[in-house]
Amino acid sequence: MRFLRQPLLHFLVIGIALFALQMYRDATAPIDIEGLDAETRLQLRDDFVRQTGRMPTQIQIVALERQELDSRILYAEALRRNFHRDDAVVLQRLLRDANFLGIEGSDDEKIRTAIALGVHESDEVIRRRMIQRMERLGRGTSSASPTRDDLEQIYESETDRWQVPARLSFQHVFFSADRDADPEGRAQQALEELRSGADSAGFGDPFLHGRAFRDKSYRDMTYMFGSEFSDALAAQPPTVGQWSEPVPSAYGMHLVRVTDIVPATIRSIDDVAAKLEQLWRDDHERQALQAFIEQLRQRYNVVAPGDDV
Amino acid sequence: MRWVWIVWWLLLALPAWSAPPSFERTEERQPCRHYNALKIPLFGDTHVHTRYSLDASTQDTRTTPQQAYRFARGERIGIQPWNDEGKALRSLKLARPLDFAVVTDHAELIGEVSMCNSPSVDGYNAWQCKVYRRWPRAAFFLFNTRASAGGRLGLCGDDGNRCLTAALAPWQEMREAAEQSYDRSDNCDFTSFVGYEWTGASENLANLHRNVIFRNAVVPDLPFSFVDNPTARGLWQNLESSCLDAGTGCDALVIPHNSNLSDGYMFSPQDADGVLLTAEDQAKRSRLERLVEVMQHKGSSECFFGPGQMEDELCAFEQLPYDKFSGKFMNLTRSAPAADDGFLRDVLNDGLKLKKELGFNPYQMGFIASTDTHLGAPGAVSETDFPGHGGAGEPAAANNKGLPDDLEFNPGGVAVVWAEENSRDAIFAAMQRRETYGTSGPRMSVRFFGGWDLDRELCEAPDFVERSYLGGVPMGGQLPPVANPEDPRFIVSALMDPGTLDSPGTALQRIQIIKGWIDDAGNKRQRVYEVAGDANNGASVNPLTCEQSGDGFKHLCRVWTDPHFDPAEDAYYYARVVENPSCRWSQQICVANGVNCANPGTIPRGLEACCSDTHRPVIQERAWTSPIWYSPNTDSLAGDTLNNDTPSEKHSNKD
Repeated sequence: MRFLRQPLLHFLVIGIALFALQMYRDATAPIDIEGLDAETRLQLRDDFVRQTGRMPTQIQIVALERQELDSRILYAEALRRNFHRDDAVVLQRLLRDANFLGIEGSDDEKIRTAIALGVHESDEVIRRRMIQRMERLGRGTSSASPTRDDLEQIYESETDRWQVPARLSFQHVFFSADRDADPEGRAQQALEELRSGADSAGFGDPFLHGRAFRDKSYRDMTYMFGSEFSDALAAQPPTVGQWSEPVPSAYGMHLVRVTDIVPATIRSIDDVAAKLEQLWRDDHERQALQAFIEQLRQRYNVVAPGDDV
Repeated sequence: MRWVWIVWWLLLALPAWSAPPSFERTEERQPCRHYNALKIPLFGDTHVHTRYSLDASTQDTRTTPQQAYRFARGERIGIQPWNDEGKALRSLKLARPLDFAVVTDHAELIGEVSMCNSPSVDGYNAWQCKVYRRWPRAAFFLFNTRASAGGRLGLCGDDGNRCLTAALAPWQEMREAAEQSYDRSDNCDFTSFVGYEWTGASENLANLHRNVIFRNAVVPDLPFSFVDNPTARGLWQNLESSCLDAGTGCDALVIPHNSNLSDGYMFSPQDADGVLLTAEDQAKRSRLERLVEVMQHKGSSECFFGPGQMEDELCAFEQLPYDKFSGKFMNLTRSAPAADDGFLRDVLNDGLKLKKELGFNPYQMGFIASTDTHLGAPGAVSETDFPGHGGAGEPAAANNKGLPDDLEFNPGGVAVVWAEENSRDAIFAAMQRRETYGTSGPRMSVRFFGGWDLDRELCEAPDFVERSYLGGVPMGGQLPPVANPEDPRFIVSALMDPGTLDSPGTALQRIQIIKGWIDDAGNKRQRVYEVAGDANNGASVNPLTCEQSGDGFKHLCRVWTDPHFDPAEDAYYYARVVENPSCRWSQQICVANGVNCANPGTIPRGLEACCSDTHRPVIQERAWTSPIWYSPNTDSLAGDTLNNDTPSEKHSNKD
């Protein structure tokens, strides 16, 4: 065990320990970051006003500023991790900037000079790109999967989303309100004959979308005929095969004869499992990113603007 | 009588069971439950930017392609600003979902030109942008030329993998988003397409932007950007070699947009680098560029209104006050729009002229409209509560009121396609045969046919659609050679937008047919015919309240014959369906804030634009159908509209 007493070994061990300590301190030491100055705060508020047409509330102001600080932190962290030296998009951008500035040399030299000049700090494209990379990192690539319980919970919380509306197939005879003042009167007259078995082809006015429709939801009908039409039909669920009383639309009156109804259903949890998983994953990633940013916030120390950083 | 109905239904259902579809199926999917040989109107948006467009993401647009498609299908999305938990402080939802959408992010990973054009984003003040705005020509070489693109090669490693990987990820996500959003079930509720925007510019920074849309999931490995090649012919060439002629089942079409901002360069005999386009180039163009955006967020490209052309007042609709986007920011390069800037009525006439030289018409393009939203909000075209589309807005003053977008911009329009069903193949084929129209937002339904055998009484016929297909060609088509000594007839039929409960549609005022032709002396001519409705129906809107008054038409139909038809002259005809007057989005905000321009005390800070000279408070929303062309030259015609009007076409579509 003589080699334990070798000074060279001691030297190495102490050296490694010091190096590790330094690494640890580098990785955990608080980092100062400049806070928002008055101009930035005003800018944030103006942007909000421009985008929403409203003054931000106090809570919103706090949120906007917090968000701006977060992107500064993300950017600073990205710089610390040297993303600007290994990201293809950033490098390409730096090279273009360098070319534009007339910096000479090989591509590597151009990039080094551009970084030395701080070009990457004034280039919004690079900043955005680096923040995006940090966010992707923060969202993580966790392979965790939701449990059945998780999926059920999401399924229950969004019941409206899984409804499949009823669909109706129908024919109609159209009486244009542009043609005369009494489309309803003409419709009533025709109705008597239709109910006693007359062929509908001989009645009514031409309609651009034709006379027969298949598998239309009430919503489809609203888009095609106006809400008065779908509302009137929905109000009195029609009997299949019977001509309806006159139904109003955006264009006039209609006699409607429903030929088939596919009732409304609710999609089962298995049916929408893929979608539920996606929702769960989105939420998961959002939380992961929040936790990631929260962690960074602990490390970064916001100092008043103008102080030396 | 029961058997009568059974037979009737059998007859109705027959085409779906027996006849093969009129378009080629190029993908595996469940057939749609319903196939309508007479076609249905499908409403969509073919121009959508999401967070992957740099000029969108620098405005804090976070909508992913997938969320954009969900939005199109009727789901609510959050839009900026966002709080620190990543929740949006504003949200948006369509009153009516779309039937189809195409996310078209910029193929260029970094859209610095657009960014520098947007004073509202941080990067606007970056030194690069300052230089760009001061010396645009110098910046052009920095951003746009092959010299700077060549710099990429040195970065990518010897095998180029690094750059490839960087670009692959977003493209992959766009493709996946399109796939996931596409309804391949027999419901056929929604169709998405893979697409991108090729963001080209000429040397003087005139806009040459084009959207590329792929027919199915077979697409090139990477989008082809203007960094790869800054000329339009480079794009066509690449699409042919990497897609149309690659033998992989890939197919694509190209939709130029904002020719109103092209300063005449988009449809010029020369390409962006000054090289004259050859007949071969033009053939590629006509093979790919089947449609053009007639209107969008950044203005209408239909026709010019101004000195020399004041007869058609409706051309002033959403006309931008400059002819290049850079003119918005640089007074030096700012010039007012002019008749030869690339307005489509003029371009279509140029096409007729070029046909005499080339033997085919390189500008035979149908019309659609779209939004060009930079919020990832396809179909958000309402003039009411317009949140802006992330155009290049000047920051408003620190005031609690202000316009959410620049005064000269608008909510954009809708692309409408007449297709047999809601599937990729059906819609793509309809786009290829140009059976499309554009609207400035409302959803009016418009049919337009031309032919030699259309009955005078067609408007009274319940089966007018069937008979029109038999006796004529639909919008986007080419009239077959003169069949009888009579003049061609056109039928145009339009239903007003029924609207929704909260926002009822506006009645129609009139329908016009616009004819363009080349006269004996070789001059480009255009004429607007009033064919239905009433220009003087007295309908109006009170700009102080936005209240509409007066009657309009719920439905308009007319069979029309060109009184000046000359069988020896090339001509095109398109219909313009015009609504009664309504308040523009900007005026709605002005009114909501109590602005009365007669009383300066009512004009709050931030809303000075309400009373500026350039503000047009009242608009007439409208639809533009694709044109129908007539040509006396019989050798390039076969009575069909697709695939035989240019020499280079090798499609195998059956229709």
